[in-house]
Parts: sequence; structure tokens; C-alpha cells
Amino acid sequence: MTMVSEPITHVVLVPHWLSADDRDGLAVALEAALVRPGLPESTADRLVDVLTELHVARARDVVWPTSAARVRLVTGWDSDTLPVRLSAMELACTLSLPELPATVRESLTGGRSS
Amino acid sequence: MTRLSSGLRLLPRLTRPTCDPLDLLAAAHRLCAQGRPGVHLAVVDDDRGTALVLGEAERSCRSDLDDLALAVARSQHDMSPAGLDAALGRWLDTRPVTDAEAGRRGIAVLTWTDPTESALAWQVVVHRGADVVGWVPYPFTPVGDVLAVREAALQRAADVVVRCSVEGPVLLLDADDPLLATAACSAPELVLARAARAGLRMRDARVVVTPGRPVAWAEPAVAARLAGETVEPCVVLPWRALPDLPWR
Repeated sequence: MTMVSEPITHVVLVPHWLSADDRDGLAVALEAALVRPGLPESTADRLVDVLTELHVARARDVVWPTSAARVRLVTGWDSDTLPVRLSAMELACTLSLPELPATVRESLTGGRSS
Repeated sequence: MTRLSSGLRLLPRLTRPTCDPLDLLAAAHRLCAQGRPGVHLAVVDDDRGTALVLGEAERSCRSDLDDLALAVARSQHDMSPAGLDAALGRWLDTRPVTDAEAGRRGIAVLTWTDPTESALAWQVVVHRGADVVGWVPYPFTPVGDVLAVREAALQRAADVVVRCSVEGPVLLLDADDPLLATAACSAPELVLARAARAGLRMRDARVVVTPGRPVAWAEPAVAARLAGETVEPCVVLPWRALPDLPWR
């Protein structure tokens, strides 16, 4: 796996290879968490960034499909598997959500992400 | 025939086809006999070797048949007479664009300025068959004519059918031929209006451009996230900078 530095903030964004079901489950959990009363504002900001990244990951695959396709070809992963790139803070905020489905938590912490 | 496993499927790539120069010469003679309106084609055999020479209006080019044979062998497996005729037809489609053709049906798109793929420029291109061929102004063409060709190409570019899709905060523009996807950048206000109709209001849009790939429009932070995480060559620029890009 490659780790790339974000040019402006120098935050390292690590790719997590999520299937379409994982991404849908993650989006539902994020949207549910964002309407929960009492959610700290800083956490909400990070969760919105994760939601944005879910869209950006799909856009990235439309504009530059070859590098992810090459990884899928080598690994044999399904064609709907995309790299979702998250910073450590974004990942921590996501994993802190009680709404997060167990399969998504597993995908973010083990399996293709380990 | 049994299906090869993924590793074994690489094996056919090792058997490279070869193109017989005599077969290609015969195909070149057929091409010359068939001809194209306004294009003068000839096979010449001189001290530089055997070559296919093409002339059209103010343009001319010469392709060595040995070089063409290598290019054909690299690009296709079909070395039958029909396959070689098709290969030479594609070669003919990539001939230099004349000033008249550029003025008649040129379209303005964004291309790389150099092989390092680090900077963008506008270029007038012509769609021929499956190819898009760039126009370079002839050295003796008057400046006024060059500017007129570019202006007409910009207007035609705004009419290219470009598909708009919205992916969250990102607007994606694509065309049937990916090389024409940047044509819509010739009229950025129209793109912003289409984005607004799609529910995407971008006050300070950034455009993420890789020539030959769909074009992404997004707010600066989203564009930075999109382009900052790719290893592909791309340029991110404010939409207002699009008309100020240089011309090739």
C-alpha cells in the first residue's frame, strides 16, 4: 500500500479498500451520527470529511481508473472495491461511531486494510 | 480450448507478430491507388529508403516503410492484407491537419504543452475516425488567420456534447471521445450554470484536468483532496484561469 502526504496540511491519508456495500454502510452510519444530538463539532467536521472522501473516491476512480484497476487485477478484489483515503483522525472518529456496522469496522481495521 | 489462468494469459504477449515489408509495400500501393480527395500519396524509393510520402495543401510528411512496419507490428496482430490496409488507413487519419481543415472543423481542447505533462495549453484538434489530431499553425500562416481558426474552434468546442454527472461535491464532465472532454472548459460559465442546475453551487471552483480523461470541477478543498491523492499527472487550476491558458 502507498501512503501519500496531503500537500497543504501534511496529513497522511491511508487508503482503505472498501467494497460498495462497505461504503454504503459507512455512509448510512455517518449520516445517522451527524444528526445525533451532542456530537462534538470537531468530530462532526471529520465525519463530514469522511463523507466527502466517499464521493471523492468514486470521482477519483472515474477520472483515473487505472491504478485502482491494477491493484484489483493483482489482488482479485471485486470491481466495486475502491481505495477510500482517510487520515488517522478521520479513521479514529469513524471507528468511534457506535452506529458503524461490524463488517465496515472489520474492513477498516483488518482484511484489505491491514 | 481450455481457459488459461491469469499468469498464463500473459504468454501470448511474448509472441510478437512481424510485419513483412513487402506486404506493407503492396498495401501502400493499394492506398495510393485508392487515394483520398485532396491528398496526394506516393511511394518513393530513394537513397533514404522506401517511404510513403503524403502531401495535402501546405502540409507534407514522409514515413519510412520500415518504421511503419515496426509501428504496425507493435499495434496489431492482424497482418492480413485487410489488416494492413486498415493500419495504413489509420496512418492516413493521423496526417498533419491543414489550416483549411482546422478552420472548417477544428475544436479547441486542453492538451499537455510538452512530454513531461506538467502544464496545459489550448490546442485546435480535428476528429478523424477514431483519432483526434492536433493542429499546429503553419509557420507562414498570417497571425489573423491563426486567431480566426482558434476563435472558431473555441465556439465549436462549446457545442461538443459533454455528459455532466455529479458525484457528491464533484462535477464530472465526460465526452464520447475522452480527448474531447476538456472542450467544455472553453465555456466555463456554461459549466457552472449546468452545475447549479444539478444542485451544485461552486463559488470558487477549481478544475482538475488530465487531458484525455474526464474533467472534475469542485471547491478548492475537495479538488485538493481529489488531485492530491493521485499519482497521475494532472493540473488543478481556478476556473477563471482557463481562458488565459496559452495556445499551442
